[in-house]
Formats: sequence, structure tokens, C-alpha cells
Amino acid sequence: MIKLFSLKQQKKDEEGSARAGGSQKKASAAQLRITKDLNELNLPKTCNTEFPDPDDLLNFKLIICPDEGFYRGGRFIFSFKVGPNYPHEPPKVKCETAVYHPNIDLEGNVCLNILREDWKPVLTVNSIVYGLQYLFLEPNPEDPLNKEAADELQSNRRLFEQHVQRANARGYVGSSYFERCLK
Amino acid sequence: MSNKKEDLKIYWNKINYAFPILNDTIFTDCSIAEYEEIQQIIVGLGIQIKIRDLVFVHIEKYLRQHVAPSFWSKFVKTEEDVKGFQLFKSAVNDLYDSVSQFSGILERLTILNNSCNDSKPIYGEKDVISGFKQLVRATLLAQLPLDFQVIINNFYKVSFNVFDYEYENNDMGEDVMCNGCLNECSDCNCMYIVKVFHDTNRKLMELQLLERLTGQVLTNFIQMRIESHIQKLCTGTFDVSHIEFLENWLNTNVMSWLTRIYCSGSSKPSPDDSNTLNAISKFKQKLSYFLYHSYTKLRIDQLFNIIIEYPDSQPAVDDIKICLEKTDLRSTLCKSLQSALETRLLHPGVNTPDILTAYVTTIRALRHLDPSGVILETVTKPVRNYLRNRDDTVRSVVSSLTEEGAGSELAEELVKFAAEADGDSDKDEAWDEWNPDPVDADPTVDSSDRRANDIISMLVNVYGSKELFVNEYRTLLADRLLAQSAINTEKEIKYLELLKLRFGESQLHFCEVMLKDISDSKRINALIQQDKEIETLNRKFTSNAMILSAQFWPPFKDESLELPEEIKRHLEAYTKSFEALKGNRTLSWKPHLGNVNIEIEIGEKKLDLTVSPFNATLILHFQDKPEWTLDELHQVMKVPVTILRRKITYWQSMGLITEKSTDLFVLVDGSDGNKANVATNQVQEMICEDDETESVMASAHDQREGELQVFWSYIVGMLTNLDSLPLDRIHQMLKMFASQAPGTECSLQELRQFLDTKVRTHQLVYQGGMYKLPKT
Amino acid sequence: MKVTIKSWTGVATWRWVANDDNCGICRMPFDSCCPDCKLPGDDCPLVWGTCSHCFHIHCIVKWLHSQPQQQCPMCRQDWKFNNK
Repeated sequence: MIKLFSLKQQKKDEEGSARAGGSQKKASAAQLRITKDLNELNLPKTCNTEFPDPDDLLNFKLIICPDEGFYRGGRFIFSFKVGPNYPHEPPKVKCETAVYHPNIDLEGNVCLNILREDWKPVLTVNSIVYGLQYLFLEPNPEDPLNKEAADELQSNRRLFEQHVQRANARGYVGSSYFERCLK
Repeated sequence: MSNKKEDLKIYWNKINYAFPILNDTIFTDCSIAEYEEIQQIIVGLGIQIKIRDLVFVHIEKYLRQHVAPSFWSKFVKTEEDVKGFQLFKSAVNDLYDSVSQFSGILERLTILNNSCNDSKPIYGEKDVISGFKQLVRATLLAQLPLDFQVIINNFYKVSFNVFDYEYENNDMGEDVMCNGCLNECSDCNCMYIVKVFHDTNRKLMELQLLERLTGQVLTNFIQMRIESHIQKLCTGTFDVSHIEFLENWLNTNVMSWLTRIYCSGSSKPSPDDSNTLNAISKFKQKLSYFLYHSYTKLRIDQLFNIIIEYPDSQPAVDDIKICLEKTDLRSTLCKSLQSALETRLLHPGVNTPDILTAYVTTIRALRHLDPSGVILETVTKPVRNYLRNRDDTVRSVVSSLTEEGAGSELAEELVKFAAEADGDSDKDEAWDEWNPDPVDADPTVDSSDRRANDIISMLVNVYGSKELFVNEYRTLLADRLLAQSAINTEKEIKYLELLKLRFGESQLHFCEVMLKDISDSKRINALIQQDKEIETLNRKFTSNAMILSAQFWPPFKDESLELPEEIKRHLEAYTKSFEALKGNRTLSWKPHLGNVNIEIEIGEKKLDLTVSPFNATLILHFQDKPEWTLDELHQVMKVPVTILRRKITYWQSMGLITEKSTDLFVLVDGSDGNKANVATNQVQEMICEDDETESVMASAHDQREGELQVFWSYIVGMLTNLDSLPLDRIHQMLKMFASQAPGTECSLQELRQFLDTKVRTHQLVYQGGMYKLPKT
Repeated sequence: MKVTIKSWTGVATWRWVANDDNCGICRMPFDSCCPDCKLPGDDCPLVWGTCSHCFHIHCIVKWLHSQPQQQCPMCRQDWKFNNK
């Protein structure tokens, strides 16, 4: 070995240097948990996620494109906001696409038991995704947010189906206007 | 007519008398009064122009045939400076004399020319004298021999020596030799040389030949002197600044000598002589630039050594800093230092800690040289690339970070960082010291980043991620904690605190738990030793445990080892006791880890050893049965044969076991023992450390492979869903899902390498910039 | 030759004896600690419910505090600590 420093082994030095580095912020409990959720996410073919800010895992979108049922051919976007108390509180989920649906109102509020009273911290984002997907396959008239749609589903399934298709293709159902949301 | 012819003949003779040059001689007795008459005749005949031109033709011819050849004939190559000195002196003297001989002719020619009234320029000059001088110069230079500079050089060399020593040391003391003229003192020639020197210069000046003849030689000569002076002065010493010295030397020795040349011996030019003043000041500017240039070049050549000796070499670095402002050698410096680093540092002959130390001093020295950090960035790039490819870089950095005592500059750096972090002063105050980035700076890099990067960051940045760094530290710490039964946890905690300041709390959280495990283990041990059953067992020997929180320790190398029954019983009892102590918790043993204190009695000798569980198990088996085949050992110990063969060498080197025949090992016992190494050992009881120093942790590389393998399932998932993706998109998506645990960050470059290995093993297809899964 | 063991220092890793690896609430391994803790084991122990489900104590306590009814987040049975 070449001994480059044999002459200066004992020499000390006093030169200054700038500081840098420092601490990286510790990930919050919610962040840790959502990371695990997303890692284990097993999306059905009809669903997809989008992260507007890849560094922010607490806010993302879920896109559902049902391939069967009343809503096949539509494209529905949900926004997920994961709060700091996750998983002790469920994420806030809103539907960003105007949809004619018994369990989704025109403001985008979604009626899904596990997003409200039946939430428990052992549930994951995956559970919610399946819950939402199920809403499009089997709209539930029992617990309506859009009463008109719920009533119609119960009284006249065919008319309901027509209305859903009209809403998806852009148009009015009653007094409500729906943007086109077909793929 | 004939009368006239006769008259003409007389006239012609008279003209020849006045201008003997027409007959190719110079000497005549013609006085001014006599010439008046002749002039009348010429004017009377109206041939003044013709005569004048004719005379000049003859002067030209004479100069060409006589003066110039005899002048140049002295310019012969000579080895001896003094001989050259004499030759040049006599050449100039002769030339001066022969030119002086023309004064009579020129005087008459001036009168003749004045009567011509044609105001025709004479060799481009207004009057006869200047025209003549021009003619002399032209004729001489037209016959310039190739190596005319040799004796001129000799001449100036001899004279400069005299001047140089006159200034350097006035007391020649008892030297027998005169340093000026190199003669014996009693026979000192200096005075003569000085006289000749001034005389010659004056003559050349008068002939207006000084610049033409000697300018280039003088410049070359002075530059050579400057270079050799710098070489002499600045070799091997970096702890003194030389700039002031050199400036002084240039101003006194060189410039006064030069001034004397220009001013015919006087040490100061007369203030009226603006031409000379100008010439001297221009000369000085050139020389001053040359001085800096040569000095800088020399220092650049030495820069690697200067850096190695930094900070002792700081004066030299300061010098370079000043020089860089005055010269245009920045890029030369970068190139030269870069190649010096490459040839002297970046090859397998230098060990990693030395490269790191050099890198650290380079950072320090260059930061001082160029606070903007641009040179540093450019120059050290190959060093970083090289270090990245060395396996032990991280390990070396981490160990030198935590090393104690002298020589560990990094450890000091770390402590300093902590101190600075405490007294965080306002950075904004230095606004008035702001400087723009140099022109060679990379505009895409934020200059404040470049400036702010400190040494540890720069080292950490070699790998581009501090996670990897922290990981390596964790592995090293794990090794140390497991290897030493009595670890100084306090010291480790102190360093951990320092590292936390630097790398952040969360990154080092794992290490904190590891240290706590060790101290908790001591407590648990103490409690468990009180257990009745353990107490009974312990009568034979004490069993202890290091109880680790697996989630926080780096992954262990997977190694199997079947322990002897007796030991297993001990460990089972220990586990039971632990379970009783800590409800709902149990232990998983790592049989191959830990250490065992054993005493071996062989013949008269006693050996007290601390060995690994493997070595203890092995020797215990040999106690039961003195002969084992490798395969039998494999059966009882459940250790692969290759590892057995490698590890059994420990006992072979101790002289306790020999390989009797291939794969058959026997114990060297009893009387045979006297022949063994052990017997020859004079020490009755020797304490021997197990020589296994290899890490029990999976190496950073192996760990990394494992981590990347985790990504693989995501990548397959992505590509199944999305068919094909470009590299950066895959990277982006992985980043999204990469967990916050240390080490799971993956650089684009790393990912590319990883994907490329997958392409090579046909697990991926790379097509048109996109990765996709091969069709099955 | 006679070999006498004077002391044997082994290395072991501890783990919780539980029916799962991860805490259902924070999803962290049981042998690690909950996100609010720094040190595992004694400082962040597990608790069992009578329903046999177990969680990091800090996770389940936080959940129970936020709920009007004390139910296991796994099976929705009434939560009772099992002090076995």
C-alpha cells in the first residue's frame, strides 16, 4: 500500500466547514400506515389510482370504470383525503364525477357504511375500493343520499337504467344536469 | 570637348577623394574646406542626386561585403559563457568602430543631400544619418545567421550573474570563488564585466540594434532565469508564501538589470525619456505576467502534494489563489489536478481509507482555494465515481467517522458539526461578501448548495443516499455489539447522538433500539441468573444471552449450526425463564452467534480461549471422539462441508487438530501434544481472540439485492397492468410505494442497473426505451 | 484433552407469541412498535382481547377512546382486556 499520509498522521486541522444535512422529518403514523395500505393495494381491473403529487400519499384519486351493471362504460373519479388520525378515522372520500346514483349525491358525498359508522382501523384502502366498486354493481336503495334515484330504482328499474345512461352520456335527469362521463 | 573630358576626370578624382567609398575604401583626408569646393563642382555639374545615390549604392555594397560579414563572423557557437561574452563584446565594438568610420562620409553626404532638394527619403528615413543607420540594421539583419543568439545569450548570462549576486548577497565572505564572475576572488572580473556590459549596451542602443538583436534573447533569457529561480525557490516547500519574494526579486534584481541595459548603465531612466520608460514598463508587465504564469504552473504541477499536506501547505494554496486571479490557468489547474488524482490515487494500489483521507484534504484545500466550490466539484468527480465502485467505501467512511483519536479527521468533523449546530449564527450577515459564480460553474446547480456542502455530506454524497450510509453504520454497529462481550455502550451512545444531529433522528432510531437491546440484555441476564433452574445449570457454566429486537437489527446471515445437547438444554432453560419473565414473549436463538469462553487442558498445558459457538461446538465434538470425517461433522453440526473445511483451520492453526488424510481430522492429544504448536508455546495460559473478523451481518450489497427484489413484485404488477413503461415512470411509481424504512429508496441509476440485470436474465424485455414483460 | 466451558453467551431474538405478525390497526409488526413509540417490547406491549385478537396497547387504547362502544376493530365483539 502506498502510504500517502505517513508524514501527517498526527496533524490536526482546524479548517471550518459549512453545515448541511440535518434531520429528515419522521413520517407520521398516518403516512406509515397509508404507505403499507398502498403497498398491499390489490386493485381490481376496473380501478386505477392517480397521485397528483407523488410525494403526497395522503391525497390521491381512485378511478373506477365499471365493466358491468347499470354503470358500465362510465368513468368515475373519487378523491381520497387521508387525515392525520388514519386509521382511527376513515379517509374522506368524495365522488368528483356527477353521477345519478342512489348512494351518491350531487355534491359528491358517498354513502358507504365502512366510510362512516362501520369504519374500523383494521380496514384498508383496499376495503374501501371494493366497497365503492360494489356500489356501482349493486346500488343500495335502502340507505339513499339521492332519494329520487333510490325511489326510481325500487319502482322502475328500467327507467332507472335509462336515466343512468342518459346521465352518463351527458344530459338532464329531472332538473339535474350531468356531464358526460363515458370512457 | 577634350578639355572638358580632362576636367571631368579631375572632377571625378575629386569626388572620389571626397567619397572614397566609391573605390571601396573609407579613409580620406578630405577636410570640410576641401569638400566645399568639391560640392561646388558637383552642384555646378548638376549631378548631386546621381552622386548621392551612387555613394549610397557603394556604402550598401561595402556594408554588405565587409561590415556585416565581419560582424557575424564572431557569432560562433561556443560552450563557454565567458568566451561568448568576449566574442559578442568584440563584435559590437568592431561594428561600432567601423560604423563610426563612416562619420566623415556621412557628414559630406549630408551636405550633398541638402543640395539635392528632391526631399527623397533615404532608406525610408528623412536624413542621411538615420537612413544610414537603417541601412546598417537592414544589411546586418539580412545576413542574420541561424544561431546568432548563442553568444548573445552567453553575454547576458555572464553579466546577469554578476548583477544577480550583487543584489542577493553582498557579503561574499570567505568564498574563494566570486559568485558573480565565477573567477577566484583575487582575480575577480566583475568590475570589468559590468563596464563591458554597459559599454556594449550603450553602443547597441546608439546603433538602435539593442531591441532588434537582443530583444528576443533577452526575453527568453529572463524568462529562463525566472523559471529557474522559481524552481530553485519553490521546490518541495509549501508552507511559505513565495509571491512577495518573487515580486521583490523581479523588481530589484531583474528590473534594475534591465533598466541598466536600456539606460546605458544608469540605474534609473531619465524621466524625460518616455520611449525608454515605456519600453521598460511594457517589458515589466510582460515579465510580471510571465512570473505569475510560471509560478502558477509550477504550483499546479505540485498541487497534489500541496493538497496532501494541507493545511500545512496553506500558504501555497493562498499563493495559487492569488495567481489564479492574475492568470488564466483555472482550467489547466482542473485538468492537471484531476489527472494527478487519477494517476496517484485512483488505482488498486491505494487503500480506501487513504483515498478517503486524500478526498477529505482535497475538499478542504480546494474549498479554501475556491470558495464557490466549482473547482472542487469538477476535480473530485472522478474520485467520487471511483469510490462508488469500491466495496469498502461506506464501511471505511463509517468506521473513520466513529474512530477515536488522532488521524480520524472525519470524527473531528462530526464533532465540529455538532458544535456548529449548537451555535447557529446568522448566515445572512455575509451578504457583502457575495461573489458571483465563476464562469465555469454548472448553471443547473444551485450555488448555495455547492458552497454549503460540508465534508461529511460530500462523502455521504458519494453514494447519493444517506440511507445507505446509515444502513452501513447500523451493520458496523451490529457487528461491534455482537463481537464484544463488554462493549462500551456509553461511547456508542455518544457517537449515535452525534450522528443523529447529522443524519436525523429517524434514520438512526434503529441503532438506538440496538444499543438499548444490549443494555436491556444485561439486566435480563441478571434477572434470569436468579432463576432456580438456571442457577442449578449454571453450576457447570454460566449461560448468558444477548436478546435482540429483530425488527431493528440488520438482517443476519443465515447460517445453521447444531449445538451440543448440553448447550441446547441451557438455552431451552434460558428461554423458559425468559418466557416466565416476559409474558407472551419467547426467544429464537441464533446458534451461530455469540461467544464462548472455554478452557482446554491438553497434557500439562491449559488454554483459556474465547471462541465462536462454531469453534466451541467443534472442539467439544473432538473431546467426545478424537477422529471425525468432514461428513460426520456435517451430520452432527448441520454445517455445510465447505464452511466446515474453512472454519476448522482455526483449530488446525492452534495445533489441536490435524487433517490426517483427506477429509479426516484427528485430535492432536496427550504426548503427541508436545509436538504440537501449543506445546512449543512458552505461555502456559494464553488468551486468544477468535480470529474470525468477518461480519455476521448480511453485507450492504446483499441487503440491497434483497430490497430491490422487493421492488420486483411491484414492477411485475405494474407491467402486467400497464404493458410497457419507460424507466423514469417505473421509478416514479416505485417512489410512490417505497416505504419509509431505511434503505428502500432507489436511485434512477440503481433501478436501471437492476432492470438491466432482469433484461439479461430474460425476465424483462427492453424495447424502444420501454420495459415490458416477455410474452409467455 | 479436556474442554471446559466457562461461559456461553448466545444470541437470540425475542418475539411476541401472537396469532398474527402485524398489528391490525397500525399494520406495523408486533415485534416492532406502534407508530407513536420508539422502543419495542416493554415500552410498547401487546394486549389481548377476550375475543383473542391482539393489538399494540397504544393502538387499541387510542381506538377505544375514539369510540362510543368498546368493540374489537377486528371482529366487532365487545372488547374486554384478557388479563391472562
